[in-house]
Amino acid sequence: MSIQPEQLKYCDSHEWVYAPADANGVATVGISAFAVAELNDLVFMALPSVGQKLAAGQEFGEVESVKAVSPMYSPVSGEVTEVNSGLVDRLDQLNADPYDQGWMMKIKMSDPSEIAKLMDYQAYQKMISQHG
Amino acid sequence: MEISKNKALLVRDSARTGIDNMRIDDCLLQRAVPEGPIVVRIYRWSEPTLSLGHFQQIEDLVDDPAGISQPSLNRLPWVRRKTGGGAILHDQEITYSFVIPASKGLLDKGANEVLYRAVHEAVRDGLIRLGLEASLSENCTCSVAKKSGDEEPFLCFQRRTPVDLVVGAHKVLGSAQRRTRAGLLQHGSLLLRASGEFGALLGIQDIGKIPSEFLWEEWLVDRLCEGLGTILPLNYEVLELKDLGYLLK
Repeated sequence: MSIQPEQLKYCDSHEWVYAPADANGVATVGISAFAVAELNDLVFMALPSVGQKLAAGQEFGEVESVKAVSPMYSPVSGEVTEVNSGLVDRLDQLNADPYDQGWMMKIKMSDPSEIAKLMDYQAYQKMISQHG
Repeated sequence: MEISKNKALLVRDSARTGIDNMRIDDCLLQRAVPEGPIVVRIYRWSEPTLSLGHFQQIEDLVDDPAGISQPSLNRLPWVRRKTGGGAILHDQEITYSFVIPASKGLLDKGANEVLYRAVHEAVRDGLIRLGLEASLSENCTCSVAKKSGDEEPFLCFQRRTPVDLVVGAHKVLGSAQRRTRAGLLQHGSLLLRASGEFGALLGIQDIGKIPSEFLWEEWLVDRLCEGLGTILPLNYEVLELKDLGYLLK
């Protein structure tokens, strides 16, 4: 798998989702390179359990950096089918590659039409450029 | 033209148990709403209590040098904070918290240091006026621990981040945060004296020549208002916790 940021859809809370047509409704989720850079010096991460059901916008995990705990929100609704649990002990992988090695969970979408409500790459780039 | 000020509610609370103190702060964060007030709370703890950082496990204290050298720490009541960082021994200290609703524009993930710095610099300047050689730490045990592969110390006051407030070698103020879509919660602890449960950590009164009757709560309220005021123009209303009942249900 090689995920390019241009292929992804994004939330305003900086999570990305990869849902190609040939993935049988399974979406891969992570956080953007911008979010990783903003978070700076990640020390802890908690990810969901396989089988957990999530609604779009619901918290699926947490990260801690500089003593600040921030939630991560699921871009889509569905059931968690796989978790990149090794990432929790190798947070430096997120800095190096937040898309391929830095994926966090795979989720069987219950409503794939939710993808269309998310930002594409250009819209996301515009949003983060306005952060100053 | 008059600059519009943000409404802030200031609560000087009484001493409560760890569970109650954390429940109140969690409620205030969960009830934060756009255009709602900033809530600042100053409080103490009704008995010596450990508050653990959100990702800490109490079992880790057993293996920590502080836990081994001071086994009484293992017997204290403990509670987990929603905020990050290391464990705090709440005994001879004052805790502050504030909740800022998301609408105030301070929730970008990179903005956390701005708030730490605003509060810590106001306290630093206040301590300097009291004759103490206070400064920001400018050191980080996190990076050191990462490079060496060691864990950071279990206790917050044995760790250092660049914005921690120190007097000489002693850390006297540390803060931590939690961010949600609703808003931001920041906790901080100002260490006044060494605790009988763990004498290695000295507080301000142990280091400086300050009268024992000094009113630290009032002083800290003024510093918080001063620090937050450098970021947001604030119009404070002083309340008791019971006046916030609608936010705590």
